[in-house]
Amino acid sequence: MMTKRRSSWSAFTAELKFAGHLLTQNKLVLAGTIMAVAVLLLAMLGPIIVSPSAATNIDTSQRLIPPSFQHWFGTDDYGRDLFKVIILSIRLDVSAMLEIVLAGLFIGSLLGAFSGFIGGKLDEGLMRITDIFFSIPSMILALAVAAALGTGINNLILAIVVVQWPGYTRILRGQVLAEKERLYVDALRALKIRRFRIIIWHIIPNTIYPVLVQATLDFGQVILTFAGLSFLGFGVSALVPELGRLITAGELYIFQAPWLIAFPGLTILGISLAFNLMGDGIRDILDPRLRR
Amino acid sequence: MTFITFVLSQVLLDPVSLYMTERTREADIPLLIAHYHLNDPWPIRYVVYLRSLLTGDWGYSRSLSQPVLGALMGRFPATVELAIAAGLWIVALGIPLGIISAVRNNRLPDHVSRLIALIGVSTPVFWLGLLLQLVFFYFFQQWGLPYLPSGGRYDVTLMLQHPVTNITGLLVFDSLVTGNFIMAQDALAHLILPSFALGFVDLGVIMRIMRSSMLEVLRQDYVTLARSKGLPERVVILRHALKNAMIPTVTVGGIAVATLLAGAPLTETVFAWPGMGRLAVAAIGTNDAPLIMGFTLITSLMLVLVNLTVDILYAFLDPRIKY
Repeated sequence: MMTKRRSSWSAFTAELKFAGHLLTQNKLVLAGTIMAVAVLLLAMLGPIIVSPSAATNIDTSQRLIPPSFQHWFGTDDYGRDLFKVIILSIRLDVSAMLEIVLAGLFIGSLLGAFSGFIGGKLDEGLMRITDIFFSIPSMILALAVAAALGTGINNLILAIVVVQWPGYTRILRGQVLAEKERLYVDALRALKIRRFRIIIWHIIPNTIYPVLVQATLDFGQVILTFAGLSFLGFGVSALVPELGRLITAGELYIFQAPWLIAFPGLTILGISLAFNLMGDGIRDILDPRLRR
Repeated sequence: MTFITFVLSQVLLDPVSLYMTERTREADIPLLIAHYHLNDPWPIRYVVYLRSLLTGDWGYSRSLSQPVLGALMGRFPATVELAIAAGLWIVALGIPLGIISAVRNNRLPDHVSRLIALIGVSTPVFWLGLLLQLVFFYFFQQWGLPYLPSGGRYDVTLMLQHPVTNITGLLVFDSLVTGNFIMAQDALAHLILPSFALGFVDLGVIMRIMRSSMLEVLRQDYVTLARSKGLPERVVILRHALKNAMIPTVTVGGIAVATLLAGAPLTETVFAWPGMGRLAVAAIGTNDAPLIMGFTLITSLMLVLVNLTVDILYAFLDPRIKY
């Protein structure tokens, strides 16, 4: 028992070393991971670093001041300090991004696992439904769903979740189809363990990795969709700090005060880039083809 | 896909509003309900819905005071023109850059192409559009350089002086065919920025796929044979390797068209481009559900058509594939 544990421990450290090796080998991936961690920290600590009142402090005497030492990113048409507003915005955008991907992951993988394991009519029906979802570009479908649900941040999040789940369902279903033929599943069945338990406690933990990789790759895209639809006027009201909304507001002053669109856009680009780089790195780490 | 728009419009929303016009009297509403079977169970309503779609009755847009299908068809050529132009950017830049980065593998051009690809997929398309306007319209104008128009599809006063006869609805094509070179130039100038913004997202994707499939092909025996025959490198790459390397690129290109269509609402809004996407976005503001559903439907129909075209292209590129 002792030796076995030690060997699995050493296998684990070897694994960590290999992951670390791949991470540090590619400077871009490393940079992306650091950036992504920084973004998450900013999202969590934003209202502590910057007083939340910065987003609601309207001071018309301070309107549209260009970037300076006092206002790093300048001020907007309400006289708010843009740097502070952006820091506060990150929280909403990043939490929406996480909520969308996690909710899509949860719904998608449950449906995928049951679909693949049970098979039959359920599987057939569910796969045709995912086919329908794949025949419409996700941004357009999200737009249509959001339009049907009405504006508001929760409806916007829900609309993107609706287009997000079928991808995970497809991937996990494929994994489960292979996994359910393995011997240990027969053993569990012979032990009269309920199907529900087998799927939740045995099948999903063994097949979830490719779906997780896909989810990390999706972060960057989801935040773009979210900010894009918010830019079009779904989602939050004017004074709530949100990056897409900031660009909508800045569009009116595009030539007069270009910093109003430049900085929020750069922030979205930075967040998306960070998660895309990190996703690439995680895919490389978990990709068995890269191992000898 | 008709199923989704059916659920969205007929189940989530008040279905009667789909068919009401501003001239509908209160007393006529029961008639509408009877005509479109709105009180029937949903499988029947779905069949009725499909029938009305097929007969061209896509509902009535209250914000535009006209039938949805007609409104969308009027804007259709503008969107197609934009998408074609964006596609040309992708093909003209993405494929050559992909080849260069495969041939110069792991050297500077390769790294640059990787960076462009990464930034491309991470850039908010609406923001890129605004930046392009800022630089190529406003700053160029300030610096006294020749500048590009910031939005719209053509110059209105110029259009009045040199009207374009409508043949296909594609403005650049129509004006070229009719010999109206002033308008062709103007339309082209209006097209450059929006199409670049729209195409930029996919540019990097195509570039990377072209690179990796080219690297794959260059490792194969027949390329070595072509080289050992003493053929110049240019001929080996362009005549022998390129065609085989194109197959994965075409597949991804088909998927890229989907993202082109998806980016259309944002790009068209930012550039005041009079296409279907902008119409749909305007419909959101006025709660004009039939119009949005119609747009969704047309977009997915286009996507299906593109996928079919891609499948046919395979057979052309690879004679081993037969249908």
